[in-house]
Amino acid sequence: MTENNPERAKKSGEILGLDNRQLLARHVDGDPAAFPKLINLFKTPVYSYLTRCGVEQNTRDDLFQDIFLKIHSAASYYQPERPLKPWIYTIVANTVRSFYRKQRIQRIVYKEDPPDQPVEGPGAEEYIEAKETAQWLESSILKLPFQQREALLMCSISKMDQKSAASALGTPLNTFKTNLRRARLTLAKKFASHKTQEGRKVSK
Amino acid sequence: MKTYCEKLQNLLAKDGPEAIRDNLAAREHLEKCADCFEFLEALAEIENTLQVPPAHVSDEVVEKVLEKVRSASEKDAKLTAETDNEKKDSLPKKLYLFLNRILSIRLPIPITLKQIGYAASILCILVISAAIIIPNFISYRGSIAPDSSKGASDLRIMDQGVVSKKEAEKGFYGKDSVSSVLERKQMPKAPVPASEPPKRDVKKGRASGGKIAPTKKLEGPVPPTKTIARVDEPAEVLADEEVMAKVGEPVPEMLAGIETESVGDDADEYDKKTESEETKVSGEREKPITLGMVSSKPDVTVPPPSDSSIEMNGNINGSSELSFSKNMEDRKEETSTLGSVSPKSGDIIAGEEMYESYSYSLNSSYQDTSDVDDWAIENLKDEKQKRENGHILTKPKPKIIVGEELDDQTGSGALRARKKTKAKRRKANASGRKVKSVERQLKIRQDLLNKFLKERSTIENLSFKEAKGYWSNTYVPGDPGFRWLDTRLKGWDRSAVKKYINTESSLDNAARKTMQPFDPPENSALGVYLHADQKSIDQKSRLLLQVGLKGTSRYSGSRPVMNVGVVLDLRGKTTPDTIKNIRALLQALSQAKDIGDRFSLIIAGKPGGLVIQPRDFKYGYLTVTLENLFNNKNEKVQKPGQRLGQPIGQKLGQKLGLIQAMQSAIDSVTQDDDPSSPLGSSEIILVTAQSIGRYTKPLSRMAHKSALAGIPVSVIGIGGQVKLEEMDQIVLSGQGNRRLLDQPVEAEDLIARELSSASRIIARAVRLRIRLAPGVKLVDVFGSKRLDAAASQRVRDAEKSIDVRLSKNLGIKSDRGEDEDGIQIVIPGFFAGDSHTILLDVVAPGPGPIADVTVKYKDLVKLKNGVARANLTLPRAKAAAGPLERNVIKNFIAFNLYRTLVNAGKALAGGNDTKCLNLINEYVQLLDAVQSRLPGFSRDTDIAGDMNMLNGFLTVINQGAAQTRKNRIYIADSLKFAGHLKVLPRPPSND
Repeated sequence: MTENNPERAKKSGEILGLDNRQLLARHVDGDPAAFPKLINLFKTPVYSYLTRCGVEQNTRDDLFQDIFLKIHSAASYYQPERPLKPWIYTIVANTVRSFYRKQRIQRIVYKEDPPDQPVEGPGAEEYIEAKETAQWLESSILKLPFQQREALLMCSISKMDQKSAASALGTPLNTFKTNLRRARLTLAKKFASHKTQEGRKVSK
Repeated sequence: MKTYCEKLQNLLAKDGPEAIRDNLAAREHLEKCADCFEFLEALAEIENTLQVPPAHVSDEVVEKVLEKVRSASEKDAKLTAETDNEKKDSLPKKLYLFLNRILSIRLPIPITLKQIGYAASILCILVISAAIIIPNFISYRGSIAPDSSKGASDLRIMDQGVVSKKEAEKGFYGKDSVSSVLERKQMPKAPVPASEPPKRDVKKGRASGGKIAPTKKLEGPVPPTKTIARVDEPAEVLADEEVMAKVGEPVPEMLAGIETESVGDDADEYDKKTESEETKVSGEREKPITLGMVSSKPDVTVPPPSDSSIEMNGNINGSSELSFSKNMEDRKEETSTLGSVSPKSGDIIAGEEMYESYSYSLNSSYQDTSDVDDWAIENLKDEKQKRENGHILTKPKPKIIVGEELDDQTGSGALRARKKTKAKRRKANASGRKVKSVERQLKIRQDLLNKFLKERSTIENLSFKEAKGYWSNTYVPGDPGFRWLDTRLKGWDRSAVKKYINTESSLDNAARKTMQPFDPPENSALGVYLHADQKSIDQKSRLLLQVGLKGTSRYSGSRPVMNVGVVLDLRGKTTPDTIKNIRALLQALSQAKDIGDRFSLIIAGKPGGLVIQPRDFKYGYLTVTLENLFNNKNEKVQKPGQRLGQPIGQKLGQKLGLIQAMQSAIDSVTQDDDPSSPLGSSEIILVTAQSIGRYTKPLSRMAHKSALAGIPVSVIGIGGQVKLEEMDQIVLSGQGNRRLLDQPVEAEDLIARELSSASRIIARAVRLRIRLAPGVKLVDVFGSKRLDAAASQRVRDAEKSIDVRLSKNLGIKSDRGEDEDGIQIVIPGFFAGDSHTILLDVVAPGPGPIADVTVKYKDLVKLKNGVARANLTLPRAKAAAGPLERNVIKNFIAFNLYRTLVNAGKALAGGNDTKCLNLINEYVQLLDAVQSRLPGFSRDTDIAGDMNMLNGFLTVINQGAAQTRKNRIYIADSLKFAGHLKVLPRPPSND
């Protein structure tokens, strides 16, 4: 059931079903409905990955398109018996890396989105707090070393297990684990201190 | 402490909160240490935040991507079509298109420049070509030219003055012609008479009449042989030849006017390789090569692909063919059987492709195994070979002594001679008969195996079933149905058959369930495994899919406080044996009563109703009640004022029917049921010693309703009059257990197991979803059938009720109520340490995904919702079956053996000895064939054990052990019991 419901599958972190693995093969065979379905399945995590990797808004869309064009070009090389997610995220990770290589810089400054409309009503405070937390987190993620950031995002966004995520990034599993551990340690410690500071501000 | 905090935080950062799920010390530390707890909270919040997408891609961008992909696809399609057209175009056009493509793609220059570029390029190429080719063509007229009219592999050899005009017109110079022709032009010619075809050593793959036996067509121009390559030849020519050699295409001998020097060591190695690979070259050249010198080194020295040997049976001028034998086994066989023809794919009967590798290795197995059959085969082979060679005569002719010869001998001598002759004749006849008998047996075995394999590989004319909906559950918890047989067999005096068979461990004692290679799960209650009977496929194939479930051996704990209502079916007459059993059973129940337990007894078919209330279920009271019941002293029991209790809704002493008694018990137990107690702690036990008959359906409905209310219904059958099918129906509806009692001594164990069954269950509401990949079709699910709408609804209701109850009692989140696609099987409860397999018969369209399985269950060990998954994808290859694949085949064989033995038992019990013997005999032959023919089974202990067991049965029946009725029944029971043991675990030894 969840295999046919991508959103639900994503939420529950389930592996992609057999049907979804066949999407690329169907696309290569000329099925016009296959690729839109594939994009629909991966657009949010891929876009999230790009965003959190620090790709700016104006280039993010181009990069997004570039990734899916690459997927299209390489579709005939995909073997349906292999898992699809690592294959796609390898392309995503490599595209982002080559993008930064071309840019020669790693953008570590998070550009905030334009301010939202003021929120009112019940739960407004929680919403604002969550929003602030998210903003703080996004900016903190961007301050992480690129390899750690990659490991963290690959694990969290793609919902792959560590082994698959490591293979998608092309790094040894232990290196991946180390990067992930460091990223989480850094973020969690910062987050804890951030919370404490926030608490102090509120108490003052 | 700080160090521990760091360690813990590192662990949490590395593996997340899951890392400390089972680590009690860490959990305790977290409760005490604020830092660590804060750290954990921070991690959790970070993870949660990361799950929320920071931005969403706009639909415009997605549309753009799709548009680009569409245009790219169209472009690709055009390009493909163009390329296809190009292939058909002539050379100038090809050249033109090629240049056009290069210029249009690579050089972004204006169109006018393009045109100039075209013209200039074409002109240059034409000029250069003319400058090189025309003078050579004039001066040298010996070259290689594939004749397009006779196939791509056709080879024409042209020499000075020999080339015809037509051929010259057709002449097409290959890639190497420019340089190699220049070289060849200067080489001295060695005249070879046209009438004398070159010879070739057949054994070593050398030219022998120059003909290569074909089996597969060669395509493309045939390059010159390696032996003709001069050291000073252009590197590109050599390179091309090497490439061709690597590819594995045959390199024919030639050529006129070329040095015959070999390439030295390489050629020798090549030669050796050819010998080792046993490349067979046979036949004759249709048209002799009329020109040129013949290489002394092997020409057809084609290294085969890594996993194949090559058989060449073609001729050079005709269409040469290559056949690649299927696997290494072939090569082995070819090596061992020198001069024989390697097995060809055409030899395999249609539909046996699945077992090709098995069939292929038949001959090789002759050499590997050393059992009787192989010995016989060897003998047969030897004898056949000797006969063919004229070493022995099929029928030795007796020497007839007549006339002068007789006169020359003494009378006694003649007599001796006659005797000798007769003896020889008898010996020869006996030998002939033996050979024929062995031949016949082997033929029977082969036929049986072929039939078996054909049945498994047929993909035509099959009827398919829909692979969706609810299917019946084949896992019946509690005592298996063959316990009854087991109990009866315990009373069998086996001394009657001991004289025919020596060991104690024969007959049914030798039957063992196939060991399943499932590892118990480590961190959950259930594990799921999915295997097929083949490791890989390369075309449409029929497969056996096996879904395996394995429960953890970890028990959930001691039994809870039980609330049990016992319904005693006393309709009709009760025999003294039955009374003894009932007494023993109820006494055992009273003995097993623990603090807080509430047991009640309701009588059906006799006046009494609720004869014992929960508070009165004690040894003394029970004894008196039973005494009164079975000695027709009911009037005494039912006197007002006595503490016999009042049945709910019934007057004291009223006679209740079975339905009423059941309803009364359900009401009574429901009244005392504590919804917060573990599922299964309240239950109804129906004790009966007779057929339930027409009450089966209404009782099943009641049992189903009761199960929905969280009160399962179990049935205990006493004696041999009960019907297992009826019991099954009630038990499956009531989610309870089915047990059989034959001897009073077994009552205690039986009750202990029944009462502790609730605590032995490690998973509840096990929902098995088997989904076949697109294109994979279902032939059958062995032992199961698809449920109709009403039955499906009952399954849903039962599942939901367990779900809700466990949610309330144990806090396991309710997650059921939705149907899923694919085959759904719901198992109400799964016991600790059990393994269960479900076999599916499917047809897969080809390599790729085959199926996936998801098992959702209520994990009573971890107290959470558990999910286990497995999927199966078969690659495109020709891999031999491994142990896991063989296990699937063994399970299938075991399933068939179970059916065979049960049928044989029924036939024997019915007096049809012949049918029984035939059934067993056929299966022995089949197992024998499987063992000796299928790879990997030759040393299989399970199959060897089964064969021993079946042979034991054959011996016993053939020797007349089944002459007496008593023994016949026992042997029949033994057959059935052995059959059951092949698919179900053996009951515990204390049963």
